[in-house]
Amino acid sequence: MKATRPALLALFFLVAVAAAWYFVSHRAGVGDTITVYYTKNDGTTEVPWRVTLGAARDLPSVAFYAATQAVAGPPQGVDAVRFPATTRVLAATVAAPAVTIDLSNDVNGSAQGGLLETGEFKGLVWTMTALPGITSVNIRVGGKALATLPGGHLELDEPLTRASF
Amino acid sequence: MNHLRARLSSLVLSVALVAPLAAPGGAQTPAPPAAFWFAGAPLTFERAAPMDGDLAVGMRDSGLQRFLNRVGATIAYGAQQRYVIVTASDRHTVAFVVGDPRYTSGGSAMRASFAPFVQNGDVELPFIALARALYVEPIDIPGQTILEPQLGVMDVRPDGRRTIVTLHAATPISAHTIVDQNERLQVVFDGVGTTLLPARKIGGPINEIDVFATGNARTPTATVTFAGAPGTVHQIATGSAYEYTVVFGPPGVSLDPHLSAAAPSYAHSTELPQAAPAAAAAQPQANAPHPYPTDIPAVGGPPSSYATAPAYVAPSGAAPAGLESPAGGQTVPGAAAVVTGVTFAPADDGFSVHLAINGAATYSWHRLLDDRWYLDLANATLSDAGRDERPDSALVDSVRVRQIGTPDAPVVRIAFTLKGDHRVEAAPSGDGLTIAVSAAAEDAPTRIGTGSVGGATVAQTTPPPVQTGEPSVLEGTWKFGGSALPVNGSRIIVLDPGHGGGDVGTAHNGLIEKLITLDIARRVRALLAAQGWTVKMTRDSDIDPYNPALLPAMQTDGLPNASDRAYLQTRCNVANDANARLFVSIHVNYSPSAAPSGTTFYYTKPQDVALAQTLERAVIPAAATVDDGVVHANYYVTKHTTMPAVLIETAFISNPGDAAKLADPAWLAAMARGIAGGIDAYARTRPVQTSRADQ
Repeated sequence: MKATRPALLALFFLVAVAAAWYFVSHRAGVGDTITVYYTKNDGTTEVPWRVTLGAARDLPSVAFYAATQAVAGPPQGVDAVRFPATTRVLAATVAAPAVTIDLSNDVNGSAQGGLLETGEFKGLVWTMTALPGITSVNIRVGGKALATLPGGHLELDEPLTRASF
Repeated sequence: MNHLRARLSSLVLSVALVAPLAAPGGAQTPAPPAAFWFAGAPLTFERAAPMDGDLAVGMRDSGLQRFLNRVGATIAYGAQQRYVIVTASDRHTVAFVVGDPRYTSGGSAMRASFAPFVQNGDVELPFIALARALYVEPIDIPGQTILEPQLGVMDVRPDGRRTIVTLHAATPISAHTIVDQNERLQVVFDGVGTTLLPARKIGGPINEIDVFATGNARTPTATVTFAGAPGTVHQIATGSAYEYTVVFGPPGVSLDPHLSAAAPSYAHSTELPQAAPAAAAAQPQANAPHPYPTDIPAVGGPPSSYATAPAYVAPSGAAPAGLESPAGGQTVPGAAAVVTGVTFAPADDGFSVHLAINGAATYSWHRLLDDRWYLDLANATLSDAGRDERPDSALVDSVRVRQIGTPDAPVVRIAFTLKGDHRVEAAPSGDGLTIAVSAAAEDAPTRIGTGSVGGATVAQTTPPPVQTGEPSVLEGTWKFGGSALPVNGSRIIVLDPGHGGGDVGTAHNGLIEKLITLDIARRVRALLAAQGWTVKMTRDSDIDPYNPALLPAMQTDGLPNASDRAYLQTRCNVANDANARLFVSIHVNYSPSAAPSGTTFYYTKPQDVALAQTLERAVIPAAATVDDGVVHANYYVTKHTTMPAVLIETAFISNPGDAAKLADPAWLAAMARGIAGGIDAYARTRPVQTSRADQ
């Protein structure tokens, strides 16, 4: 009995290590999510949806991830106001309680009326301010602060909050 | 166990953090360019290194960029964070993490054969895993790998009595129809293969859809056959270059996929490609949340603290004619109800007001957050002049009764300033309506309600939002005690025809916004001038209305920068410098979807609300458009004007019905009458005073 005890302990240890490895390596699949908002085609109603978060969980990475998901919008077929298809998030810089989102110049195509422009940025702002500690969003386009998009209405060179909409 | 898990987590994290700094050995020596064939042409990478069954390709590699362009995808990576995110043409995202082989594709957790890593300032990605996530399947033949675009997703969505089928391809679709009969449609898609299931039973207006691949690896084709139920018809819809949409339904049902037949249920099926036999490198790891917004109910607008304007209750009868003055004291022929008397009844334990009403009317009541309460009786007039009372009451500070609204939509408003959060109840009684104030405090009072007297039916044109309680939210229509803002009595109205010159605004369906807005503004100006108002316009021709003196401050290239604060402020300054009574900016709306239609009234400042509501009440019946409501937005011109200001999006240039209206001079005239009527009705509620601009 005494002879088998070390072997049993070693077996138990190996099983424990294997179980721990499995848990850690499959953690992404367990499904931590963030809440992303999009604006319905009525231009005002925000709809939340959950998006699986990838493996990086530090706030700058999560902010970049959230901003990119908000700009990508929900899958095709969902009734939503959408950023122009080629719009990219160039950077998301967190300085709580603010986050600065730098969008590619493609976003300038949004300035075609109140519904589109307002709906796009409302979804983005609601998404970013759903992150812990974030209450306002600064917008940059191609690295620059703009009063509005060219031909647009929405004032963009001051911090946007949920109360801005 | 927990300790061990923590240690392992730390180890994994350490490795993940170090990984970006040290590339795997296999990628240190650039391999010769791999031979790929994609979408009818060779695809060459600048540097591609085979690695653990995949291929490491730099994010900035020109070959990868060409690949992404062809499949309509964009790639995003920002400094000081670890995600590299590719957004596909169908808006699903593929998110890699530097230093971690796990990635997500459309919300599903996957694992690549190696972790993305940084080398020479570029992020090396597992290309094969990425290609598969973008519906491109690698097929190895001797000496070459063919990247075959796939007909990747079939989305079948029931929508009322019809069914919408959308096929998504990796590359722009080239399709030709082989069979096109009511109940049967057969389409060949050139340049794409498919790993979709060969056949599926659908139900509803579609019995079955068959999919099969034809052609060969270099020149693939996929054939799809739709078998409709007996008696059904179909319509092929236009959309994204990467999508093919067909709608099946019974005759008589709209087959336009952009115009929903029913609220989307999202109980539809989305079929993804089958896992290819060779696709061992990337396998789903676990059941991830479905990316569709099925698990959280829609939010009906923002939280209550961000909601805005009181609801407008539409008149229940025909619009009256012949109202000469909105100031009260006159009976309006054709109005549905007349308030013939107002009786105040203070008492020790409460206070009540009885309105004697002749006729039927609907009403809405609203409680603000600062102990104010008001009730609007729609389509009603006062037989006597308005009243102001300061009753000897422990519960009520003041009561006002006013005739407000427009000649076409008169409203009688009774407003209370309470001495606390006392209970207020409105109920039909006898020959009218009784409003009772009692001493009972309400911990969580209801803030809005509706009702009717004389058998009228309640009908709302705007969803009832929750009150903000902003102190001056109703400034401009009526005021309480000393809390009102000073009245600007200028007779100057400023109209701002949106856009102009090089800034055309939105242009679709053969219409150009800058020309339409100028047309409407000129019509409004003529109407207001005939009513005695002085009208200034920010522009009266097709120009950029910027101040040339400000040009050097705007931009260095000699051109006006429409994103510059100085450029935008020019429009505002036309009104600010003239000390104008109010400012109305006229625009045309747009949506990529053809569905949205109607008129929206945007405001920014609290003192804009009453103007927006008055315009709404005047414009909607005059122009017969869909009422998209009064909406708060942080718009530049409404924010930086010092007087009440509203930006009107008159109609959607992208909606076929609205576009027809925008092209119709008679409708433009009707819209102008509505705007002028709203401006006049709003401005007439204020006493005209001598102002600096009038002198």
